[in-house]
Amino acid sequence: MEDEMPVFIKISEYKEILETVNALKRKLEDAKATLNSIREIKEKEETELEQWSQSITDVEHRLEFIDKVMFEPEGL
Amino acid sequence: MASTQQNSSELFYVGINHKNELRRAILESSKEMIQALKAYRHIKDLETQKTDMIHDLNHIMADVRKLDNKLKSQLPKLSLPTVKPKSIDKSKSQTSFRPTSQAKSQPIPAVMKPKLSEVDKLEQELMEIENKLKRLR
Repeated sequence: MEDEMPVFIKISEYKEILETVNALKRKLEDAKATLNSIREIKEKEETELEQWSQSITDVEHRLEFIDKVMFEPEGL
Repeated sequence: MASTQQNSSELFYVGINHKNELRRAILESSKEMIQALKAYRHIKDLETQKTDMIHDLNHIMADVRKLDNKLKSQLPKLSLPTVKPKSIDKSKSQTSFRPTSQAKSQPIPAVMKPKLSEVDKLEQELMEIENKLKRLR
């Protein structure tokens, strides 16, 4: 029965509710924008880490070469 | 002093092959390491930025929660149909419990309610909302 019953809200309260809903919408937009920024930073971080890993591998290869050359002295 | 001079005359040297490649490899390794250190600074900056952003997001979510509660209080309260619990046979329940003399003498310990954490509170709230939604369907 109660489902079909109409609900009435005072005009002043209705306005307040609309204001709250709008404030909520704005906050959610802010949250979405912040989340996107976090995602972008995370992606940048991932790229940086990948580059870091690559440079470590490069240095490792160079060190292997240095090691090899140092242990194969001239004339031996 | 004399012994040092004597030792220096006996010094041996080892020849290095591919001297230019070796020099290049050492220089390039140094360059790469410096670049890696620069990258570390950049990653640190990104981490700080991310922490700040997460902090901001936390504040925004707290505001959203406050506004949500405000909205809940502003909206008219509707009594939702409640699910009636199964009727308990009173006669059975009365006869099944008879305190013994031993039980009477022992003091009943006070039930300590465990302190709910923030996550527990949120979970409880979520359950309440889900129950309300079920009742609405």
